[in-house]
Amino acid sequence: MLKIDHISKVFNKGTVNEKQALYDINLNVNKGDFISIIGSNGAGKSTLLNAISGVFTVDEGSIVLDGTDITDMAEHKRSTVIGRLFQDPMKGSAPSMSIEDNLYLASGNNGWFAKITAKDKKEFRERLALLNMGLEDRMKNPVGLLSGGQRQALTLLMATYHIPKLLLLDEHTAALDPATAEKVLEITRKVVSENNITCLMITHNMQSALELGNRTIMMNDGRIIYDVSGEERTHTTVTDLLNLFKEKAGESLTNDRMLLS
Amino acid sequence: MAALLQTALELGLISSLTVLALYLSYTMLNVCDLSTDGAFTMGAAVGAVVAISGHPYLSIIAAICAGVLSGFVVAFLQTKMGIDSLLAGIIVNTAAYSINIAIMGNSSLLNMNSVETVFSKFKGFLGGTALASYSKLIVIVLFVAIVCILLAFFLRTRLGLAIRATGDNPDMVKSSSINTVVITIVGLCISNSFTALSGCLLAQYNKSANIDIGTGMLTVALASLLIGRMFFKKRGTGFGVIGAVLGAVLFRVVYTLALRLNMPASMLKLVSSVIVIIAIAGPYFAGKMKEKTMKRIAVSKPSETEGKNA
Repeated sequence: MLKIDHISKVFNKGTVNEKQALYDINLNVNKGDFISIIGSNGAGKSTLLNAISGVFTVDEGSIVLDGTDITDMAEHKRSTVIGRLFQDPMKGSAPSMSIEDNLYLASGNNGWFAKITAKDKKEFRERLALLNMGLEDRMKNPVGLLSGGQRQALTLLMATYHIPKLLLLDEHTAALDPATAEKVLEITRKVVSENNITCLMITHNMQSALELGNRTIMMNDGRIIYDVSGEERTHTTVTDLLNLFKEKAGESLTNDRMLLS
Repeated sequence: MAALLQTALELGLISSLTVLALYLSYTMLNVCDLSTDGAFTMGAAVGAVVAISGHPYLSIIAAICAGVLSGFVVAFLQTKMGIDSLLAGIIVNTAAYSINIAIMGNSSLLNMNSVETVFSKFKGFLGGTALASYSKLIVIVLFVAIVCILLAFFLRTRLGLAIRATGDNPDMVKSSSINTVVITIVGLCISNSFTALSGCLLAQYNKSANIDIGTGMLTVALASLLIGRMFFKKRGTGFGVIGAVLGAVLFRVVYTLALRLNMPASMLKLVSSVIVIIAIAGPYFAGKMKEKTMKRIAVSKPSETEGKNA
């Protein structure tokens, strides 16, 4: 499904701030995989997702998604098949525009010179109702008035409006309060499993890293240092993960927002 | 006095087209397009040259095309050539001076006294009817109404929404599989076509096009835009469009009244600069004041907050 082949990325090459952010990464993702990614601050987790979604092009290696080489494809072209959510709930929607206007752009319905139709509105209303947040009755409200959790749920709806081949989640619940985070995570789980979306999720929550999905990878210093799935993963505990990290990386796992339980 | 106000209304409506251009580029697309002066003069120059050659209707279309071209160059420089958007506007503005002189046949003034313009054509059409004395106003109102309706409709289409979203949150636009570069180019082409149309109409209205016709237009239009913004705060884009036109007319009417009170005409640009400064700095200082009072309240009532925490 997704084949990442020996990719490397160096930022600020040739300056004192030179930083090798990705170091010869190989990753093979199967269709329907839900992979959780954990690691210290600056391990290259977000950089890896940025490389896949095309925020920058990699120095070496190739990225092939579903048989198409996307290594040099522009970001907005990749986004037709890759959905993405960021940690910052403000990043995924336009605040001064209404909920329906945001959804209209994400839907790509109709031509460039066409307005929203009643049919579009009905469709948006039905989809918003699935979130169970009452947003279907506030479609004319500017998105800027929504709470962080509501905005993140809306962004998830926008990113999966047309089922993407790949969904990238970059700690998308980290900025939310625990109850809202749980709710957004629940919606994520539902959307991903119902549509069998292949998904990579960075998380700071060790417990959900093991509970969600079918595979967990651990990153440190621009490398993937551990990759666990199947039978072995079901027997892994949070303590095992922390010990494994210490063993492989030679230091304790440190992450500002890390949640152990 | 009535004639004076009618003139103010006519001039205000003509400049409202430039204000609408800024509404699209500055308010919606969030790009500060400094090439406004150059595009305005280019519209005036192209319109005058084509009208003088005997095609008053074609002159309108030619001026609009010149505006699109000017907008395209500004947009291309900032999206494809890595030039900062402010600098791109300044560069195009400077280059436009030479180009405009060339368009006007190496002259800095074109006289259209005995030339057929859209205004003289329409006046002829109305003939000796009762409306004849309003013929200029009617022409201008028609142009402004058409542009307003098109713009208000356009801002609700998918392309218009993409322009608004590009100004609001470009990341979101990219993740909706839309190319922000194309959107910026389209937005600036459209906005500059309004500016050039505005310049073309003013030149034909004045029956002359000179190289300085657009000087300071950006600041005047920005002042009008910011005045217009006060009318419909937090309303939809349709009201925003109407607000922009109202702002332009109000600005011109106030300016005319000030002239009656013996303000020198040369003060126009100083006044518009001051309005822009007040309109932008005012809310900024109001925000700061609010912050200060909030702090003071928080400091003066420490026991209350402590009580809540306990």
